[in-house]
Amino acid sequence: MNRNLKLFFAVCLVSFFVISPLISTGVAYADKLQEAISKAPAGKDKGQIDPQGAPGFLGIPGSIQVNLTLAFIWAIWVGWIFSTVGAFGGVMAGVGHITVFGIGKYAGQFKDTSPMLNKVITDSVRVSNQFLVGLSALISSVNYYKMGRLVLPLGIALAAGSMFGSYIVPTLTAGKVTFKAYTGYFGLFVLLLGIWMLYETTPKGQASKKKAKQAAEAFESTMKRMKSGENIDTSQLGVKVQSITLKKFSFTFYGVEFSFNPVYPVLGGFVISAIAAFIGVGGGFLLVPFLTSISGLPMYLSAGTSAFAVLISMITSIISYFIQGVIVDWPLIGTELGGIVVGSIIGPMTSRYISDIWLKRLFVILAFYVGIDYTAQGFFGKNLLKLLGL
Amino acid sequence: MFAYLDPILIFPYRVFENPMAGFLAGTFILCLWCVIVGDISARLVCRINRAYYQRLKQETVDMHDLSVKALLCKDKESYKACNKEANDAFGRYFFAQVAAGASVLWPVALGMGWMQTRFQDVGFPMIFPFSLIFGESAKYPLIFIMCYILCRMLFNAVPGSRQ
Repeated sequence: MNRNLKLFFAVCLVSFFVISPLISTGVAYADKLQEAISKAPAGKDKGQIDPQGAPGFLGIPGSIQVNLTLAFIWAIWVGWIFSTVGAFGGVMAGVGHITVFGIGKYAGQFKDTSPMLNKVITDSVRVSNQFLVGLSALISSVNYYKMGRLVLPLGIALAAGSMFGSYIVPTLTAGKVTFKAYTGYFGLFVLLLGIWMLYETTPKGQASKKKAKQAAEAFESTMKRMKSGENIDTSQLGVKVQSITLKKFSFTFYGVEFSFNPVYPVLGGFVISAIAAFIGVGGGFLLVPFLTSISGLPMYLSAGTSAFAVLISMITSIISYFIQGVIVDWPLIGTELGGIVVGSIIGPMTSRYISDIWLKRLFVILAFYVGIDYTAQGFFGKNLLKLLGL
Repeated sequence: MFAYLDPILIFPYRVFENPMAGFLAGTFILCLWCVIVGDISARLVCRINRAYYQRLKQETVDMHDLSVKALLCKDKESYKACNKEANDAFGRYFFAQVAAGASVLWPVALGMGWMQTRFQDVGFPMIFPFSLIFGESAKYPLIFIMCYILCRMLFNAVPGSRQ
């Protein structure tokens, strides 16, 4: 982060603290959860709230008690995946919230008796996913922002789309999505991810990777043969913007020209951040490949530029969800983050014993199972086994 | 756990007579705890995983450097191939670093969890123009996040605090 940006944030924060004592105290607003609890029928049966029961998930009286030991162990698995396979860790974090900890089943009880409570729990799970995955990834995004360089016009275009997507989705959907529907969309997302992962393990997908690797190796050996610095034109180092119009943005990087239509990053940023905010995942892992494919930018520029957009869209999304009054079970998130840390330490120690391709194949099967199962549950009201008639 | 920590964490909230000043001071101290504990655990994780992170980072940097060399030689095809490899390496490094992110943030979630038990129902009506950005009422998460960012920036300004 450059010095001016830091100064800007510092001034904003200090102003906030100077002015905040002027804010009158003592007014408490009943939040959505309390409202949803009060509207739910009282009793000890399914779909009812037991007012005398011990506070459980989100402090709801008589609700399920999420087993924090189980959450910790599950998060070790999530952290292990993050450090060995990558983005799929986010999917497993979602599976933990939806299925393993029993939150989905609990929310489902209120489908008919208290739809409002059902939706409040759904929002909480969505934001929990985003906190767990997105915020952790945000830290690495910020590191990349420091390491990389920024193509400012592209970053602004991407951030504008991202900001709009991450504002509009929480604003339009908070309190309106049922757990069933959320499960369906989550499943669809996982299914698409599974199809992509499957493609990468096919001979065609492998061949394209192999080709890129061979070309890179060939170039590397050519460079080794040449004396470093020879025949190199250093007159045009770094990013140099050539022209900016509504239809074309062109710049040179190390003297080679790159161009793209500025509408694409705005649209791409919007779509990716809208999906990320809705499903509850970090958009960073989609933004870098997207930027590389539309603009052909070098990795460091893609990383730095996308980190700028991730930073803005995550802040927008989180503030938007808080403004909508979404509640998060913080002790659960804290426990899971601790588990992710442990899993990510174990991952590098164990990954050398497992073949990369077989690991990918295993996760393709998992992605298809989770994807089809959740899609079936969400959109057809049946789980995968029932759908297959088993 | 919150029951054990509660007397320590609530103490700074009672230092000032004015409830607003007490709330801000207490939250600031809580955030400072979160920053310090997060920083210690991040250093620990980075130390344990240092060799792994270094290897992934080196792969990324090597491929990136190679792609830039291809650009300098005006060889766009080799550039594309090297850049694809650099991006793959970057992806691996990015997700490996999620652990570093989690190690910084776990105290934040627990700090917010403790605040939830104490200040769940406390909301501050926002004055104009903040109400345009943050809505009509600010609850503990917003105050905590603002405070945390400020603490993090102050902490980073301390010489020797950066990793």
